[in-house]
Amino acid sequence: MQKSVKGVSSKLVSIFITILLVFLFSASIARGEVILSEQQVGIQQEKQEEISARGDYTRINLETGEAEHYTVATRLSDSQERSIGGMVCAPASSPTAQGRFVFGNDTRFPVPSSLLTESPYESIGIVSSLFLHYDEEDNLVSFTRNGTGFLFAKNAVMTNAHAVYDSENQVYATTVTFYPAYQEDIIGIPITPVYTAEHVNVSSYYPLTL
Amino acid sequence: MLEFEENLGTHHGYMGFGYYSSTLSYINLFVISDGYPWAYDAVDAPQGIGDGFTMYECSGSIGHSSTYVMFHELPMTSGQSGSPLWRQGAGSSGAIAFGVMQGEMTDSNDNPLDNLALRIDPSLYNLMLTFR
Repeated sequence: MQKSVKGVSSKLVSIFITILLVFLFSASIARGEVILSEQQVGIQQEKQEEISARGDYTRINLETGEAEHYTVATRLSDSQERSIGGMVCAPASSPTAQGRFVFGNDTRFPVPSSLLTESPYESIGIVSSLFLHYDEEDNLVSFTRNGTGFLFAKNAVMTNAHAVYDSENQVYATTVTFYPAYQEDIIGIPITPVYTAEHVNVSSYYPLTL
Repeated sequence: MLEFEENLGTHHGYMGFGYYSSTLSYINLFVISDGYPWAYDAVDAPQGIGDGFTMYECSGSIGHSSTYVMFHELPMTSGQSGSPLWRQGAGSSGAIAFGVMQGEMTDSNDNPLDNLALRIDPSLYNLMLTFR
């Protein structure tokens, strides 16, 4: 009887060890999803080297075209940052209640218009940039590029550098407008206020940097 | 970054922003992104959605992050560039942006590898703080 109990116990132990090994193996495969391929690592390192000097920025006055260069260090002053659970953050501000609407996974779908007046949707909008440049035959060419941006301070919007700088023709946009929480009426007329940017700030190393 | 003469954030609010000190904290971090996808000129648009004038939302996890760049598989096409990648912060922090939608990373044969987002790293964070 004792022998058979021992036999059952050793079987249970071996089953447990097998399950543990399978679990550990699966976990290592799961971790493999976030391991970069050799090629990706190479690209990533190359990109990091390119952007190692990213503390330098160029500030363009869109009205006069004047450019000034600065570094982040020269602009820093006392600030009210705080740390929450290992995260360093500057909090949001909203004239309305905080939105806490979360949709399903990995599927894009329209944000209901009723939420566009709530945080953070009210702070996210269209960035529309007008570019002018002369082509090879000296003709003035214009085009518009639209992207997205979001307010992160009372008078500042974050967007991509390529939204305001055309690296192909090496020109900054001449006019950049921002439509927070853009909406149209039923005949397609914008009902959203539009704001025209006074300055754009781009990393001095763009497009080498992101 | 754009600067305005008006304090439009007073009327429209503004998002929080932040970063985790360790890039390991971004692995599998669930984030939300909202932007204005534009399907018409994107031949590889996965779902062909977006007219460039309607805000869409998607969500998913960041795969991993380097100092400046986050790699993710959230669906994105033209027009979403500049969209925030955000999470709801603790307490009354509101929505906290951790990154900015950027584009796609491809290998030398132009095969897509991952979508990229700019990470709000300490340097960029400090610059953004100067606008507060």
